[in-house]
This record gives sequence, C-alpha cells and structure tokens, in this order.
Amino acid sequence: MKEIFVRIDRCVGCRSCELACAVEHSRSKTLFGAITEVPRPKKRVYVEYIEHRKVPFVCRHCEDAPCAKACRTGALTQDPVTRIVTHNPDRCIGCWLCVMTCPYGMINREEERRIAVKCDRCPEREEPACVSACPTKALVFAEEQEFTKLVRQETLSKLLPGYAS
Amino acid sequence: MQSMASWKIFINPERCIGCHACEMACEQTHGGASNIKVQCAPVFCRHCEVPPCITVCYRNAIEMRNGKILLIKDLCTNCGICIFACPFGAIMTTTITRRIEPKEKAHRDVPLLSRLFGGKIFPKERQIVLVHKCDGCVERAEAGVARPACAATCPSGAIECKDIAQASSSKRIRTYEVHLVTHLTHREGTSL
Amino acid sequence: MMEKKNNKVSVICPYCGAGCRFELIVENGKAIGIDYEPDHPVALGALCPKGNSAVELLNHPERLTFPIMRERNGKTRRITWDEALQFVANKLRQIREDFGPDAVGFLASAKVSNEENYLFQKLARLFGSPHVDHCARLCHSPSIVALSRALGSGAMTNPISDLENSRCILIIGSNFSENHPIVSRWVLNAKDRGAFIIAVDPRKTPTTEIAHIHLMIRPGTDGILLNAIMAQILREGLANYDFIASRTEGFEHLKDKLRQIDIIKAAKQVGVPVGDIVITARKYATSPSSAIVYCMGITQHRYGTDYAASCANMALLCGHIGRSGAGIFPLRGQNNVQGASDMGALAEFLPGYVRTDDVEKRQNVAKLWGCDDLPSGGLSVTEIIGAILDGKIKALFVMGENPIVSDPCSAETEKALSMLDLLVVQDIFMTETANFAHVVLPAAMWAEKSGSYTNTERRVQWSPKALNPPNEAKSDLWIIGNLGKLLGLWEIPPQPEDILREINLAIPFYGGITPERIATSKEGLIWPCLDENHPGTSILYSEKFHRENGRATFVTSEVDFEASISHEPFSLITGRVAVHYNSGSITRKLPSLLRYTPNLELTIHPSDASELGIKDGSTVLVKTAKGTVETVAKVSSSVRQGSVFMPFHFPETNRLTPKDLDPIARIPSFKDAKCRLLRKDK
Repeated sequence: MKEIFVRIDRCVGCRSCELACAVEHSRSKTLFGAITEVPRPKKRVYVEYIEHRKVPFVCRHCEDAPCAKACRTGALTQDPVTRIVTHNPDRCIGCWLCVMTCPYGMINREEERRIAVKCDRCPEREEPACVSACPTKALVFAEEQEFTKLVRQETLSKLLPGYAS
Repeated sequence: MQSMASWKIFINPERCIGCHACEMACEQTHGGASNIKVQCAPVFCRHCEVPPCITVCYRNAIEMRNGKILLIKDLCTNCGICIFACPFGAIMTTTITRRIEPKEKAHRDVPLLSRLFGGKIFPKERQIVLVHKCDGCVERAEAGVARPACAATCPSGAIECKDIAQASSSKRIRTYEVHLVTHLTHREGTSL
Repeated sequence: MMEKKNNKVSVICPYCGAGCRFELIVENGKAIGIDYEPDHPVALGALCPKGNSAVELLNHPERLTFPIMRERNGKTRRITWDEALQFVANKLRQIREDFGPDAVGFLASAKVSNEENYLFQKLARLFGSPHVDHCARLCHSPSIVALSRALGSGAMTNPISDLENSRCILIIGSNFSENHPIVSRWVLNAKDRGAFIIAVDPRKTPTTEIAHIHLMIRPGTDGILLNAIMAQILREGLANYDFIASRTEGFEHLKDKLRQIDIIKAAKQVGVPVGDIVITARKYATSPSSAIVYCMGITQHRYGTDYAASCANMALLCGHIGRSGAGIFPLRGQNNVQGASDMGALAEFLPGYVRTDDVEKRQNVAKLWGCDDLPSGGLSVTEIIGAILDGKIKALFVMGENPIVSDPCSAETEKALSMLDLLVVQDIFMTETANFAHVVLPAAMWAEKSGSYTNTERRVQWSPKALNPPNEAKSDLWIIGNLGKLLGLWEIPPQPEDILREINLAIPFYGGITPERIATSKEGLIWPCLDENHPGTSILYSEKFHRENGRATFVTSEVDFEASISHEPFSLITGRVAVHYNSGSITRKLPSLLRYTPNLELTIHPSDASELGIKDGSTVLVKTAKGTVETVAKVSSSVRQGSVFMPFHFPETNRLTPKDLDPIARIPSFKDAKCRLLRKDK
C-alpha cells in the first residue's frame, strides 16, 4: 500500500497542504466556496512551527491503530487490508478518547457537530490532496520500497562525486 | 477566548502513578463517594458531546450545560439505565444505608407477615443504591476556579484541563521533541 | 502575616519534604476543606493523597488534648500543664544532679517548625546535654555527611521543578512516584521533551515504570554499580576533563580505583545486563544536562555514606552540577527534616552545620547564647538507645518522633524505653512510643501554630496559624519555651518571629530569611540567602563549591564493596507506600488513606512463593536475628527472586531490622536486612 512520507527538511511552512485538505473535504471543492461554507470545512493535516523548523504532520494510519482500538462506539474503524482508519460521524459521541490515545495528536474537533475529525486518505482521489498541493515535494505518496529507493538514489548522488576519477 | 464548552478534562494514562489523590479530592469537593475510580488510570465521565446517557434517560434527569453533563438528583430515580449506556463505566454507584422512619411510604414493601403483626416487626434500615457521576466541578467553575478538583490535585499531571486543538498540538510538538529532533539534527546541512 | 481570604489560609503541607502549599478552609475555628494553589512553584498546586487528608487529620477524635501522667502500675491520669512541666523540669534537674547532664537524651522532630527545633536543641545544649538527634539519622545522614565533604553543603542542589530541564535523569534508590508524588510531574515533563530516564531499583515500582530502562539490581550492589558506570564513562573518554581540572580535586585517586574495575564482572555481581551499564554511562555522560535523583535505596546501607559519595563523584566526573537541569537530588522525606538538620538538631552539628568538635566555632555559638561553651560528643538516635541499655542514659525527651516503630530492632528500643527513669513524649496522638512514657504532652498540629519550614529544595516557607489547637493542646514552641523557663535557661518563652531573627544571626546562610520577607511570600526564600537584599539561591555551585578553596573533591572509598554482597536468601527490603507516612502513627488513623493499604503485606516473588508453598494472601512467618513477625504474603514479580519487601508503616516491620550502623554517618543499615520465611500452617 502507498504511504505518505514526510521529508521534513523540505517543508517551507507554506501550509498549501492544510488548505488543500480543507478544500477537498468541502462540498464545493473550490477554495472560494470552501471559505464561505457553513459549517467551515476542517483540515486534517497540521504544520507546526517549532523553533526554526516547520514540521508537517499527517495521520500515519498506524498498524493496530490506537484510536480505532480506543473507540467504544465503532466510529473509528480500520480496514484490515488497506490499513486506512476511517471515521464515521454518525457513530461518534464526542468522548475524545481517540484524541487522548493518538500519539501524534492527529485528531481534532469539529465544532458544529461536536464530533471528531481526522484524515481519511482522500478515498475519492488518486493521490491525497495534501501531497498534490505540496510545492517542494516534502510530502511523498509512494510504496515503501519506492520511497527508500528514492532516498538511496539521493544519497548516492551525493556520495559518488566524492569518488570521481 | 474559547468557550467553556471546548475545555475537556483530559486523561493522560501514561502519567498516572496510581496515588488516588483525584479520588480523595473528588470526595472532598462533592461530599460522599468519589466520582472517579482509579484502575491503572483514572476513569470518570468524559462529558461526551453526543451523550448516550442523555439519550437513554427516560426521566430527562441528565442534561448538558456549558459543555458538561449533569445528573439532576431531584429527577433521578437511581434506575441505573445510564450505567448500561455509558461505554466507559464512568457512572458510579454507592450503596448507603438509610433509616426507615415509621409510617414512611417505604413500608409498602414490608412483608405482609410483618404487617399482620400490627407492623411491629419491620425493617429499621434499608440499602439504597445511589447513582452519581462527575459533574465537571460546575460549582468550582461558577465560583471562578479554572480547574476541576481532580485536575488541580493530580501530582503527575495525568488529569489536565485542555481544549482539544491545544491538546493535539501539544502531542505533535512532543512527537517532534522526543522522536524527530535528533533525526533532523543529524541530517542538518543535507538536502535529502 | 499571610492575608486570610474569606477564611482560606495558605499553609504548607505537613507530610513529605516536597513542601507543597495548599489553602485550608476554616469556618468557626474548624477546618472544613482544602483548595489548591496553582501558582505555587513546587507542584503548581498539586497535592498527593496524603496532603488531601489534611482536614481529616486536623479533626481527628483521638487527638491528645490534655497532659497525661502514667503511674508505675501503668494507669494514666489527666494532669494540668503546671503539674506536667514542673514534674518534668524537677525530674530532669534531679537526674542531671545524680548522673550528670550526659544522662539525658533529646530527640527533636523532623516535622515541627525551624523555630521549634532551634529552641529545642538550644534547650538541650544549655541544659548541658550533647545528645540531641532526630530521625534524619535514619534517612539522609549519609547525604549530609558525604555531600558536605564532597561539595561543601549536604543539600539538594537544584529545585524540584528544574528536573524538567534535564536531558537525562538517573533515578537510583528512589520511588518518588509513591513517596514524593509531585516529583513525577517534572520528570514526566522532561521525558515529554525528549529526556532519557534511567531507574535503578531492586523492585518494580510506579517510578521504574516511568523510566526508559530499569536496572533491577541485586539489593546492596549500588556501590559496585555506580563505580562500574563511572569506570565505563572514563573508558569511553566521556569524562568532562575541563570541569575536573578547573573545579575539582582528588580525581587521580578515584581514576586509579576506577581503572581496575571490570564491568563485565561488575554486571554479574549487580545482576543486570552489561549493556544497560554501558547505555547508562553513555546517556548520562553525553547528555547536555543530567540529574541524579536518589533516596533511601542509596543511604540506608552499611556503606550508605560511600554510596552517596559515589553519586557526587558521578556528577563531578561529568560536570553535571551547578546549572539548570544538572545536579544532585537527594529527596528529603519529611516536611521539615531539612530544617531540623539546618537548625543543628543533630548530634555532631550545631545550628548552621557548625561541628560540635570545632572548638572555636562552637564557642561562638555559645557566646551568642550567653555562655562560655557548649557540650560535644553527642550520641545519635540508635546510639542513644544503646546507651540507655548500658545504663548511661536515664532520661529521654521525645518530641514528635516514634522510635519504637521507626528505629531498627524494635525489641531493643522497647527494652530501653522501659528502663528509663523518665520518658517524656510530646506528640499529637498516643503513639506506640507514647505508650511507654511517664509524661505525655499534647502538642498542636502544624496548622495550629505559626512557623517556618524548610523543604528538600532548601526553600524556607512560612506556614501561618490557621486555627486554634483543641482543648489544652499547645504548640511545641509554647511547651519548650515554658520548660526552658522552668529550667532557668531563659526569662520569657520566645515567639516564633523572635527565634527566626536569632536564626538569622546564628546561621549565615539563613541570614536574609527574615520573618517580614517570608511571611508575605508564598514561595519563600531558598538558602543560601545571606542578607536582606539577597534573593536566595535556587541552584547551588554555579560559580564555586562551598568548600574552603571553592573546589569540589572526589571522595574515593577504600571499602571493598564486593565483600559486602550477601548471597543468602532472602534480602528483606523495607520501604514506603503511597498512602502511608513513615511510622504510620498518623496515616493508620485516617480511614480515607488506610482503606487503600489497610494491612501489612510482604511481597514475594512467584518462584520463591511456590518453592516455599506460600500462596497469595496466606500467613507467613518472617524471621531475622532480631525477631519474628507474622504477616500476609502478596505474590508479585515486582520483587527479584531472593528478595522480599515490607513497608515500615506498620510496627511489625522494624522488629526485624538490624542495628548495624554505617560507621561514618551512623545510619542503621535497614536495607541490608536478611530474613528467612516460613509458611504458617493453620
């Protein structure tokens, strides 16, 4: 399965990912429309400014996800094949146990319906909206082997010139 | 400034040291038994925003006020249906012994045989099960005190009052500080 | 004085040495509730279960409320204060005349205020007796001795909250999650910021659960372990040579000793994987700021002083001292044990740690008190018991202590107390010790009197009087003040503020801690605070150490730690649990606490239990050379095979412990006890 890998040192803090995420989860699917919608669509990815760094956080859809295990009503369920953890608003009671258990702080609150909101990996798109929007390719949507191959190639491209001759 | 409704009483189970201070603070603040039970970590009402307990209470004895779920003692019959509905076991019961005064209506359930003997043989006491639960320390809030007693007393910070956006943000920052910062420091100066 | 806010009075907690503050709610002269003070720096208002029991404690029906005389036939009768104090004064004078002032011993209290302890030790010494001591002897006397010798002062070097700034915390022989619960908050904060936490303890406790790695050592091998860690730090070139060169001395001697250590052999003796020793060495040495938190697991041994000195050596080796996040944290156990020590309620010290054998300085103190000289050569707590058994001490005045339960080898303590011509006990409840007393004097509780208390951070805080003591109970200050007057030692029983002013003169590092300054400040002042303009000193040794030449010294022990490892089963480890306090004389009377740990239990490993045929909940007999007791077994793998654990809050436990003392600090080696176990068949 494809994962979203984060190359933190490429993040410039533009927040295009946050914007694109909110727009993708709006009814109108346009930026202008999203801003005027009620309820306001909420982003599910977060860019934190910590010291001099900009650090993007996306839901990991963890193996044996703690949020899905903590959820008592079955609002959060994990697909055994794709590993994607989906949130069903109809079952959510707003108890916030998922917020307490998520080690990465990836779950937030929707004020209007007073329920949880989290990443769904954009089921209706080829590539998640945040990845498509990222201008520096800090977010990479790829299989694990593809990504590590990319990292090795970049390492070699730095290493080999040192052996020139 | 966020409304009071967005402040939640968070539990950080990994910080719980099992000292029971929260139970004692709860008892002292409300009188009677604790609304918190510590079993590996403190368990008490989550003040759900779409509460199952309110849905099932046929007496409308549970209501939401300012983001907190309150059990109205005057309307409550101690039937316990809310206890079944609560997914967390956060609604507690305490058994108390109550003296029965002569001529009380409670004598309806005195056995027939005793009544035949002129009501001279009747139980003097009766066990009553009271249903109770955390009320988010509304009285302290109304008096202007920011935190519920349990959060105020918790020595290790296992119980905290936070708003959800802030709580999630703190966790992201903690993830960075514990797991990511060393990795980035080692890769400083590279453009991988 | 501290402002009263709608009958809410801000007081210091009477239990452990953390020095938390809370508000006591008083109505019509009665304590009815408490509230929390979120601005207080020690714990941000948090309060552990014991602190939460304050109201129950103040209103307890079994309080002593009038003086009692116990006749020869054991019968007690109520007497007046005049009768009581006259009797005590006359009897003390008579014993001094017949046997000399050396025949009287005085046990001060780790729980009463600084002013009360100061006046108490002054009374004893002006009376002519050198024998003043208190229960710091049983817990941190090794810290006072070892750290004074190595660094110049025997106290904790940084505030508790500073732990959140450490990048590596080594916890050795401390179970603060149960005994100083608020310390957990700061250590967990450090952990959330990425700090690496190491715990060394022969048991699994709530504290070891916090750590990233837990070295579950064989009991009594702390000295071997610390030397092995230091040897590895040296071997890997991780010692801080700049620091060693510029700020210490005596390193060569330690280096030679450490060079001879084989850490693989050490790891086998200690009973931990050698990799854990290596990780500990690397993490502690290479982190930007590391802390060592230690407690009874280090001190209560035959070589407790050497183990405490090893902790200091380790901090000096890596330069982790004298700045934020880096320091040594010996956690003091009682609300005013640091103060009692500072006030000189110890056999070898006068106020301000003036040694009683330093003639010149001793005579300076005498001059301040209006006489030529003061006695020296005082005996420590357990030595006093020995002296009573030898017939050398005939009278004992016990203030706020319960030696029958707290001292080792209770059978001997009982025998000694029965031999006394005069035993006076001044306390709040009829304790096990008070049951032996000829005269029992009812004392006020902490919230019923004003005074200053010094916590483990060297923070001196004022705790004002919130309500009156019940009936005829009086503050310890009133009692000692009036007794001193009857003994002809002073004219007028002094007030707490006056005594604090004398303390400002007698103890240089308390020089600026005046009543005016601390009575109006919730966070108090941290010593050294030399004069009225000095802000206090949170972190010690940032510029220089308190030794004469400003340098610290490495203290190299000549003791062969390996020879002290014993392999017989079982190691008997005594300690504490969260809801109880020391001898249990208070907490075993409070239902809100007692319900969580109502009975004594011996914790035993499942393999040992099954081998002996002991089932969980069954009765066992515990035998040592000092006695046999019966208790209930709790089967749990929180102890090592070959070790058992018993909390000492119940009187049975110290019936078993040995009297062997550390030769330097004279602390009983409680944690070196060995025992045999037998299943008790019905």
